[in-house]
Amino acid sequence: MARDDTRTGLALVLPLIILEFIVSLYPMGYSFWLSIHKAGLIGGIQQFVGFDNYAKVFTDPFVYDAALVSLRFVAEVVFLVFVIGMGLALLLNEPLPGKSILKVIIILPWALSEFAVAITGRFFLDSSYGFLNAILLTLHLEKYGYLFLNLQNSVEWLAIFYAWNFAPIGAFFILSSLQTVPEDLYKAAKIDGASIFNRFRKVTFPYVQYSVLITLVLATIQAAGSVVISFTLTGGGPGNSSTPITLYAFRVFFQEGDYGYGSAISWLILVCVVAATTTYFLLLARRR
Amino acid sequence: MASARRRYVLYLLTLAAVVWSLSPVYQIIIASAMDPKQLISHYLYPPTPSFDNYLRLFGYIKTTAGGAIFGLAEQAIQGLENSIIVAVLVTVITMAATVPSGYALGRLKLRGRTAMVGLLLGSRTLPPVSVALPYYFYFTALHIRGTILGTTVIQMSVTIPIVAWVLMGFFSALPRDIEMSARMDGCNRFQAFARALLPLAAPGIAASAVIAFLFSWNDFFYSWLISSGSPAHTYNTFLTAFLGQSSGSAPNPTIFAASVVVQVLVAIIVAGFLQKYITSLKIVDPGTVAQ
Amino acid sequence: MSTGAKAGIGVVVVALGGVAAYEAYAASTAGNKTVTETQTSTSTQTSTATQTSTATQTSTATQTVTSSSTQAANALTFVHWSFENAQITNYIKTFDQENSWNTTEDVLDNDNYNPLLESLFASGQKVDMNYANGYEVPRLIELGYGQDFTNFPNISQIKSEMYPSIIEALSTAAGTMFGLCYYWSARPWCTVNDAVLNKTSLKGQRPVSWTDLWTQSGPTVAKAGVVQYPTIPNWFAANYGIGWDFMGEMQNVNNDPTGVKVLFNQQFQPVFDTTGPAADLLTNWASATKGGVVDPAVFSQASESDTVASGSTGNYAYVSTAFYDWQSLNLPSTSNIPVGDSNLCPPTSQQAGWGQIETGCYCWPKKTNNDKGATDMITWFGYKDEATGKRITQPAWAIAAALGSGFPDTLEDPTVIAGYQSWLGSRTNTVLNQVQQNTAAIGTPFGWKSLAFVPWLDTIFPVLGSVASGVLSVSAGLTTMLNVANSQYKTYYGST
Repeated sequence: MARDDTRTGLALVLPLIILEFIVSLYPMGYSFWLSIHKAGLIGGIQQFVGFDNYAKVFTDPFVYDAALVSLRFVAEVVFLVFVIGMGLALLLNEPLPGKSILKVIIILPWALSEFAVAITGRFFLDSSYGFLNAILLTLHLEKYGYLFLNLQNSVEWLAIFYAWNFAPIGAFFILSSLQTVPEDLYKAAKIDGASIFNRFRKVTFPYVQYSVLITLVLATIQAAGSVVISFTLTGGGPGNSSTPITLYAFRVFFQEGDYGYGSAISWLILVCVVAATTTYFLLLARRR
Repeated sequence: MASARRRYVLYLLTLAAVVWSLSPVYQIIIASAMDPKQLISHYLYPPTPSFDNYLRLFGYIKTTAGGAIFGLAEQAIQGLENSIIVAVLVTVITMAATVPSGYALGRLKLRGRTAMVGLLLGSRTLPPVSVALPYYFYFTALHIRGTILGTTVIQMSVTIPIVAWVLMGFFSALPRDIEMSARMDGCNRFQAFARALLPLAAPGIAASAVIAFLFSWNDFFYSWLISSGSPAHTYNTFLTAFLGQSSGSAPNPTIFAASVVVQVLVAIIVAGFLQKYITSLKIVDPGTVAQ
Repeated sequence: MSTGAKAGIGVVVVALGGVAAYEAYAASTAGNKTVTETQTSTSTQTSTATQTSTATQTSTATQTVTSSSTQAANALTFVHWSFENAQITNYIKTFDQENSWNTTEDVLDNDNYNPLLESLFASGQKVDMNYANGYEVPRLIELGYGQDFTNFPNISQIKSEMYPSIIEALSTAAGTMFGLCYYWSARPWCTVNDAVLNKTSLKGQRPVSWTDLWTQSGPTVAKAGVVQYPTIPNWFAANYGIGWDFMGEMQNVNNDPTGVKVLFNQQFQPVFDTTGPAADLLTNWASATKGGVVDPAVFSQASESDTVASGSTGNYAYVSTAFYDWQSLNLPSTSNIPVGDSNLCPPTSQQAGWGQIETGCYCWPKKTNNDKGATDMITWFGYKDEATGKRITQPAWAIAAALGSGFPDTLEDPTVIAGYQSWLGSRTNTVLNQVQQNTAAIGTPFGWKSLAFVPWLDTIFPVLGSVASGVLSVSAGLTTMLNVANSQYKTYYGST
């Protein structure tokens, strides 16, 4: 007979639902409530203003630049995560001596917190005592310390360190599906004279495309929501050049004390992230 | 021959991967073993390595290399204690909530399962900024900002979706017939779970607990918002004291490096433990349904 | 009920039980420092999360109650930022011992000190004394978190012993004092590195004004090619970096010590515009950066200590910084500049001094744990130790960190003079005279008394960075700064 486990299941899932409500849903609802009011540190929640705060987002000059920084950052992170994640996964799929040590080394960047990564980035890139400058100076490739975190490239460095942090988990995801590719397919392709690139495209990729897609989705979601790396590594960069929209929302909320407007910005960020994620998953559904 | 060249290329790539993964960690470790004058002299390795910066961090040496008093040891130690307490609490509560639900969502046939999975997935997409700020305001009004309780609750918004997700995938990937054969042998549902499934699930549950601990230990933004400036501040929050310190206390990049290494040590240990299990914690396809 | 449901309920119970057990643990070790108000002096015992405690007059169900009978009566809280924290802890120990108090320190992150402080008060936490910069306190008073010193014990006596300019700096627009002086200093003050300058045609000379620095002296040194960049100014990316530099330089160059003519007038309205003095200043900044006079690394530095560390490398001819930071440039343990080669630019007639008077003060919160404890602590730190009649913190800070004191007698104290001599050597008299002359010429921006000032500064300091580094045009930057000033003014004071 068909057993419906719903009663048991619900009892087991209940604590999760309660906690989810407390830790996620209620704050989101409260944030929406704030965003439709004029609310601030001075004066608390004042009057209902409908969608005025949301309209303000589109007329705020700082928002435009911050959104551009976010887009650039996310695009670069996704690209780097794909390249590095795929590369590391392919490498780990090969027979190599000392693989378990290698795996520990490769997963290490993922185990660090975004905050620690940002600080190591600061030490790495600093123009007076940074390691990168130490190498270049020792090799006499430059005379003075170079300012890496300058106006033009701060966002790129943020993306590089963020991808350094994220890619290992992607590599392991991709690796687990790489390991399901049957050996004989490779042999057959080699016998047919396929080049490395074609072997990858025709044989390997179909098996890993799902995990690659999941990795890129997660990378997008996390990068879009990231605030710690920009906060800590560049503080928003020289001027505002590496201030993503998340950091801007934080500043509006926290430093300007405008809770209504800050909440509106963060809701719009959420909407964009959800829209992007849904698009990804629609693509996914089609691939099935 | 081609295979020898192939091996040579592989070794080169492996070396590149190792350098890529380790060089930022290497440089912060060597920075922690130097003193400030050496640090600005661009050494690639510590010329006179010493543990002094760690001793300073924990208060055994009271002055910096330049002779100024370093007074943050008490805050550092308190931060460490608080981080450990919070991480343990977060792990326990997270596992208590997610193991049963991971089991249910991964193996049981439920109506509304898709909705619940969607809820979990949705929580993972929330940008921290959107969740944290209402919390800040809300906890402030409830007088739990700056407490261990507040920090624990807010960190769970990170750990619960991830661990529930992982466990759901993990449980659904375990062999289907384990419980069935246990029940045929006369066990009831709970015994089937405890005796037959749990031993198999144990490594995955352990790995998930480690992940929960790691995410809590690594959390910065939420715990900074909620605990900064209070006696319940976490270790990561303490680290911000180095970021904006004015020069009267003498800039201490080397002690800063040492304090970051302490934070990172936990991550290194965890990485060593986790790498075996990462591939077994398979990703779940939200479309699969337990039969 | 099925076993599965039983298991689920069991888990929930365990989880709640764990939370309750933890509450008991935390309470028993007083890990949670919120202290509840008790009308009587009996102690309150802790309880599990599901019960509210008995014997307290006021508590909400969500507040964990922790106190022991020895703590409740004399616990005090002191909120401050990070600066020489070990020294502060020593002061606290002495104060506590002498007066039988039990003070806890709450140290807030420097870079977000003001918002964190305001939120701390908003959360209802009771504070007995806190630091703040001069421009933050009017906000604290307006928000109801702090109080002015009109009714502070002995305030007229205290005022009679202070510098009038410091009293003015520490007063609201209405003229009521809002804090006792923790320190004051001048920032930004341009200093020279003679070791570098002596290799150029400007040997022995000093810039006579900021304009001179950006348009004459700086480019001359740049052409000489002895260093990569002639200057590292105080333009680090924080509100008290490039933000204060803008204010200070505007006041100096336009001979307007309080900025009421060129920055914010006495009605707190912005009087700068997209043309005029502000545009001239920012144009100079942008050209200086473009011309290689300014090290662009400063735009990426978010903290004061990074900029001072750079200055200490000795690789610049000009370093502008606060007076107390200039002390580090003179100490062999922290600086590569040869002793005696780092020197202040003296005040000249071409502009009104160097920098502005920046202050940190001891504030008097409204909701304290213990009113007497609060006033005792503020008096001890900000005035003198009434038991011995001597000033403790003022001479100590002057010696340890070259911080200005609100009381003229500090600079007459022989131990203080000896302290300055230890790092200034034969330059002591010259330097102390320069400090006196400079202080007489500069002032605190009047705009600091505005409620709208802090949110304005926090928003626009990145814009200053963008303009100075050439990313944003001067007029676009000033337009934004003006718009933000007007919109903030509207929020706090109604329409312009």
